Amino acid sequence: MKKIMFKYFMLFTVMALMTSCYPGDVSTEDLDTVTTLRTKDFQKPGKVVIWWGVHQIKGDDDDNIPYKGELDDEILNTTLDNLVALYGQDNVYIMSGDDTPDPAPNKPVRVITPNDVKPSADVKIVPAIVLRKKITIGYYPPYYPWYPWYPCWDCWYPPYYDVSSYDVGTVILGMVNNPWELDKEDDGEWLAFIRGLISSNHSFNGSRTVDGINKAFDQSPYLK
Amino acid sequence: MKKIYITALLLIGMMISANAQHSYWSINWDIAQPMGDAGDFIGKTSFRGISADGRYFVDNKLSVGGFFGWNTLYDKLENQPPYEFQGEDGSIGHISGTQFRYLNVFPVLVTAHYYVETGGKIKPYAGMGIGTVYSEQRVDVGLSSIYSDSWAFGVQPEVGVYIPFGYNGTGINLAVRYLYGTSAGDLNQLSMLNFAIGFGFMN
Repeated sequence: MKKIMFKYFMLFTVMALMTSCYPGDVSTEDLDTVTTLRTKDFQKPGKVVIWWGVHQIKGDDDDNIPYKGELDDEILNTTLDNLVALYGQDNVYIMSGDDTPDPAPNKPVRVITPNDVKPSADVKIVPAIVLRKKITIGYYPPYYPWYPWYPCWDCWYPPYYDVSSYDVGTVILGMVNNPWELDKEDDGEWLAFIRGLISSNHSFNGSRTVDGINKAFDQSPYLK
Repeated sequence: MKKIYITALLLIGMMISANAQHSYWSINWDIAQPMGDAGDFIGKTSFRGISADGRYFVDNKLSVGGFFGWNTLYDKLENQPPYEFQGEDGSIGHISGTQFRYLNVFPVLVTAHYYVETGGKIKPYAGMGIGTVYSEQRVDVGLSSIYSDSWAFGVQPEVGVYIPFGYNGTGINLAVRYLYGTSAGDLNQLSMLNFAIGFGFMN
């Protein structure tokens, strides 16, 4: 009997060891992901407007992380650089409002203010960052968030496999119709989610932001 | 997972009860090298494996029995091309990031072995197992997880040797096995070379 018990003991000891010995060498960067999504009928735009500001997606309570725009420059400038590389500086506009950051005078593209006559354009790019600590996702695809004006906590976050929440620090780039107006009914054409960009190290965050946004455009060759 | 444990228990129980007759059983540490499609998915050699094997001797040169194994394979891959997925409405998505790949393989086989007479106590053998292979595959990218599993038909040719030492038929079991599983479900064919070392008990 003791011999039998010993055999069972050996077996379960080894099983328990095997179950528990998955590797744990996961760094912050290992959890960074870049997800892009385009509609089935996506058509590449000819002229693009970037709305010059990073919308902060927050909840109404205190369950948000503190953010004072530390990554806004990286997000906006990297996105602009990619758009200029894709469409040329004559086909990219900056939409600047009174409450948006100064786009700086040396930008290679034309800056449009709300009172200017608007040139023709196809889509707008609207950057946003998620500051909510946890946002539960309920819907299954496809549903494009009415963000940033109506942050939709229940919107779909791709990929649809097992994801249960937006992660704090996710930067979202949305390419949506209606380039010169903000409307919650806008249709999303292309979305990029650059996950997990906020840590305690600002320079680290900045380089990861630039890398993540560049990767979002690199893995979307259909934009050109 | 519960089914696996129960199956393992049943097999071990069979082995132990067979132990009262002219039988052989072994428990082994398995080192697995995935090949083919499995090798493309995870190229690294796995040192996390276990198998148990029970045999009943029909005569001095032939045994029949059962085999159960568990190999867990893992690899971390950086700078991979983005993984493509499709929404039900036809939208196309891509996700990129460090990939953590896992593959758990559980062969459950009935076996037959032939033993070569050496004139001594050492018993070289060659055998074949046939049965089913349960595979569980997962790719983690960031917080996303892409999971598939399947039950496939499997065969496993094997050569090995039992080297007795000490008393009561205790010895070392050494074996080399090739496990093949057909493609099933979302998973491709499984192909894996196993090197096993363990304790053998003969009576």
